[in-house]
Amino acid sequence: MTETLAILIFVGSLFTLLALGVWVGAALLTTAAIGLALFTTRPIGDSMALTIWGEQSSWTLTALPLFIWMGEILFRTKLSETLFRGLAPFMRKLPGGLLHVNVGASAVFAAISGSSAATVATVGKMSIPELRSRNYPEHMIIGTLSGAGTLGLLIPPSIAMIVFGVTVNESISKLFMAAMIPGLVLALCFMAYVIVWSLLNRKTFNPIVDVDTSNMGRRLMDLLPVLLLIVAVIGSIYSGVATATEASALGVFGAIILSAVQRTLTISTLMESIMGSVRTTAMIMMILMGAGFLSLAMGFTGIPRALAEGIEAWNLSPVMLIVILTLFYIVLGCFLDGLSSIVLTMAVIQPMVVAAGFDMLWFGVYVMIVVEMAQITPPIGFNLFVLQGMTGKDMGFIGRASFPMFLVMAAFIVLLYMFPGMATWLPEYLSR
Amino acid sequence: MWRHLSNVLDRIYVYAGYGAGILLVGLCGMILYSILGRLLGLYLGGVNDFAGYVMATSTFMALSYTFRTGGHIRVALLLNGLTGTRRRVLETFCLGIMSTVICYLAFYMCRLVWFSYDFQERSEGADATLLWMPQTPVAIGAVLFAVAVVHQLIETLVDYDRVNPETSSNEGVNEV
Repeated sequence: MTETLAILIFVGSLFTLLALGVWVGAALLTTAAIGLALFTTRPIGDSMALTIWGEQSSWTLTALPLFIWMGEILFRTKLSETLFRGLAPFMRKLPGGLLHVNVGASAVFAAISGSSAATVATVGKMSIPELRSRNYPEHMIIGTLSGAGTLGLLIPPSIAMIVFGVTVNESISKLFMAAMIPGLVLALCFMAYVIVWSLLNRKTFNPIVDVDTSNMGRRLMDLLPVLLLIVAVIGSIYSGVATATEASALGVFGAIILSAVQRTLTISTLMESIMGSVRTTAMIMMILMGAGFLSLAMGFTGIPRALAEGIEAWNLSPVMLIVILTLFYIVLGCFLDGLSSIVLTMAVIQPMVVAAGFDMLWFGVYVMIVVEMAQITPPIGFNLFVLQGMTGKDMGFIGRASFPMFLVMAAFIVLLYMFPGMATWLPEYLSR
Repeated sequence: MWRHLSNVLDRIYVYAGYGAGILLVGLCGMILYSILGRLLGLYLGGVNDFAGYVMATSTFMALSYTFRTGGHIRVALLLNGLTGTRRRVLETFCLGIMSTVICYLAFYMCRLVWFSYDFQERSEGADATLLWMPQTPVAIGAVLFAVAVVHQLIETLVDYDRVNPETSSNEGVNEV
């Protein structure tokens, strides 16, 4: 009984504070403090300070600011141009033509950047004007971009994955291994959708086909540094040579060299990239502080265990649990950003999912995909905001254009459920 | 007079932000150095712990700067639906809660430093640092954050034109 009451108080105060517009980190800290004060006799302030200090000075978390910085540097290079010019000649023959460049370039950029918004912005910068001038339909340009941009969260390195790993205490390197194959398969699913769409709309889909195929050697050479950077970062983690943090520092180093080679490295872009990552890091750390303290408070009240037992008593089949969780995250994602919905729910969801017998690596991949879906559902969906700024279209149009991609991701969840090996095989193979 | 003080404070937050940036570069340098050290077979005990301390300091230095430039995340659905006085009232309420929580946090961060100093606590890692040393800058950052939040609250109460979110040109949140 007290547990039901505790749940009501936690959920009630948390959602009221969030809805009123209290900063997410502060809302989490407040809720946790209220919970501790009502249901335990623990010293609140001291446990708060100790938890925050312990979490914020931990070695695992050091990968986060560095991967953010790496992305900020690359975002300010000429990479969008390089990717478009390098990939377009290979994609032009496929049904759907250059729409595939949106997907391909997103997948490549996702492999060196951990952010979905940065992926959309980088790829779109070049491909929106290029595709528009070739008469590609606006809704397909926007849809493929917003959908494929979310690969930034799934294909390693991924900021959201680090946040998930720190929240549930799972190895970040292993999560990065688990996400690779699902990320590539999801990219293929997006491409398959483009192919099917273009075959169905053969009559009305007549883009101009004039891809410049001169200087192919030169363009491939331009892509080479990107590939080297991917190998250095992801390869060093997969081979076990470097930890995630070490790989992120190597990534920053590589990104600086890459932008120096492209002659886009100036004192001002470097300063901007540093200050940008300082702001992003502080924002994420603030939510993490709140989440760390909230899960401590919840642990003391026994809610997560009680909920896990409750769910077990219902005898839900794993399928039903995943269906319910998916719906829950989609609704939550309509109002909250991805990172907040991960850290907010994990303290409760983790014991539940473990009790139901799911592998945490698999679940990490699953969460990334539902959070990606949340990124493209209105009214709050960050990829939509980015695209609104880049195309000048209204939110409704962008939301509708992205909806087919939302369905592709939903279908992908079914695939992932049927073939869990997609996520679990690579980590097992590599750690043998 | 108030505006003068406000400008001075804003400059302090920006300098703290620069400090955070320098520490970020330092963090990266430290980790690269430890990779190099390992390749050369040198023993660099405690680098992991130091990296953690540097990161914590950098984060806390950046909190106030991020807050004043609108970089912390919140659900703005309801806020954006309101205008004028109503919005001001709700902003004041949110800032009131934020100020309470962050002042509370800052106070206990300082107390943590005091206890670590009093008991001469050492890190459990290979570095065995006296913990109050890396904790002090973190506490300073927390206090600065509290100052920034209260600063914003006071400004919303007495000088709303300066912080009016309907007209301000802050960068907003950097999403990932």
